[in-house]
Amino acid sequence: MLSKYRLRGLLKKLIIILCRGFTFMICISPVSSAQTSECIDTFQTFAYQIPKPFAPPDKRINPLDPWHSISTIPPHHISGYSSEIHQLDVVAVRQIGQATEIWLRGVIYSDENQLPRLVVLLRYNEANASWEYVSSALGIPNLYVWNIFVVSDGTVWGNVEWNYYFTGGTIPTNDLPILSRFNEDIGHFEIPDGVIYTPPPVDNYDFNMTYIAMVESRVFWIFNVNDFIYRYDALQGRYERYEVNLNASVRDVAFAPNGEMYLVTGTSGAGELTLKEFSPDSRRLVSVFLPNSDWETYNGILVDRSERLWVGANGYRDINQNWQLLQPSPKEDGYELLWAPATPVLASSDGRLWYNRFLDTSGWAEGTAWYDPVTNQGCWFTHFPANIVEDNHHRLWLAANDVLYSLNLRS
Amino acid sequence: MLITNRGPNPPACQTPYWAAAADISVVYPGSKSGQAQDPSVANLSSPLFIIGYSAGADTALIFADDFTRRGGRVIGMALLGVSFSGQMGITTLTQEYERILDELLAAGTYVYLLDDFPHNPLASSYTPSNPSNYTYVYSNREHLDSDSLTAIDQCVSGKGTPLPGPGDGTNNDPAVVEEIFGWFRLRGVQP
Repeated sequence: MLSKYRLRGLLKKLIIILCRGFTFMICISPVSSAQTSECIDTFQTFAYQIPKPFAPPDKRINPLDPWHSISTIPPHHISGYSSEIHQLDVVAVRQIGQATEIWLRGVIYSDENQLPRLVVLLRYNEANASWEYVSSALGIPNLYVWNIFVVSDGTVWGNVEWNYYFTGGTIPTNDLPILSRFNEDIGHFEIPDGVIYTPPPVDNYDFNMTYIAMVESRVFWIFNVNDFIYRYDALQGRYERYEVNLNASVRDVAFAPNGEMYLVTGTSGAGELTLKEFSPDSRRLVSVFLPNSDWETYNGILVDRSERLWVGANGYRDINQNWQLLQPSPKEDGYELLWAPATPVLASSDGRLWYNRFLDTSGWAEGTAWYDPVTNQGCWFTHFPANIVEDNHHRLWLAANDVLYSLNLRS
Repeated sequence: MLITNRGPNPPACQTPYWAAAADISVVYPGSKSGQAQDPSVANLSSPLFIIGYSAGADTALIFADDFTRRGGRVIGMALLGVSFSGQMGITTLTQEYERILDELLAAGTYVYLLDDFPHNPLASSYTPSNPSNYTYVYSNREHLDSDSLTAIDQCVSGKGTPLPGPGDGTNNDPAVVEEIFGWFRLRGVQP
């Protein structure tokens, strides 16, 4: 038997804490959903209920028909790293003439936990069915690209993130550039001339504090918790600064057709969120008050094709400023819904809304689904949580289980 | 209120008494495999005593599996509210947890499994391949994960700021910490 005296002084104690995510909830649901062969279950089950008891599926279901498997993502071989790609997602689509290029992002881990994780980018050329890996490194130590944006002139841009993992858990002490651009000639992202810099983070709990969103395929809006709001027109190459103090991290942005935008601000991790409306013309930032506590828990906002502002999967505010609640957010119970509420990722051209959920529960409380606000029907069609991007030909793209999938909305 | 994938700060918010006893605490970054690969635990030397709460309990198993494969030694593990789920490369913890626990117990790791997660048949049904009441204990404590408790998961449920003092849930009751640490001390393992 081991003696406490022998161990004392030698033992390191490690505590790994996380989200409390697993209880059940019972809730009413006005959302009706027809379950068909293309569905694992209804949108209602996906967004508002969790199967009980806790039981991850024996086999996670890939996107079902009418989604089409396009290509298997090739493994990425880097010495010391596993070839498996985690968190793989489609992040952007680019048209090059008649050809479509799909950009994806993932994370790879060291085989023996001796090397920091790496972010990998890759692109799929539909014309010749070829894959190419692209480095996420920026040529500046410890900086890499995470989000990808395609501007209408065909240029590919990225945000800039600090590689906390690569630096052994340290945070930057210098100002950081906010944007990067893909150099087609050398096949790398780099910091373009004239880019602005924002202050470094103040602690290592929230070390990437700049949120970037793009609208009209040309204008970047840049929000940094320690700085003001910036607008960058990628076609004109011009920055504009809006001296508006956010005093909080921006978590999500949704653009309205009238040029105004909605911001979700809040602290990192779990905590209170505030929904705000920012008008670039008047430079006013005002709070948008949700009707009551039925709306308080959500993840993500989205403006749909009918200009309705969706608050997670709870409901929406229409153009007449009327709030329509679909489902009250969980309150006393339902931790899995608190931790992974259905998150809107896309309003597709056919009017449907697409949602995903991720709780890292082997497929139990996660996946991807659509909801049609016109028919009030929806479908949970895969256990894999996925981002979805629509191209100019009304095709949707997603990655699941190491396969690239497409769905033609016109067929 | 929001919930994000990134978890609360353990010492400041979610598990203050557990974190106070630890040399290192690791925030949940959005995935269990990602947490197991946190740079703060990349180069630890043996022996380790590991405490995992909720999703972190799943992470603890994923980390311990990797750590012991590299020759590391885990002397004790407190798994608090484990679900036995999560991605592990091409496989999942749901598929691997029995093997991992069996291997840890066979290697001499003392394991305390506090099951406060209602409706999870996996935790209650696990039986070590070589049962030993001395090195492994299953403790059903679903009452410790009840919303009737004060401040269970104060950081996530939108009930306001964290309690200034103790609560009465798995995450924030110092008596639970002492009870579980006492089980290890009786076996000569000093958390």
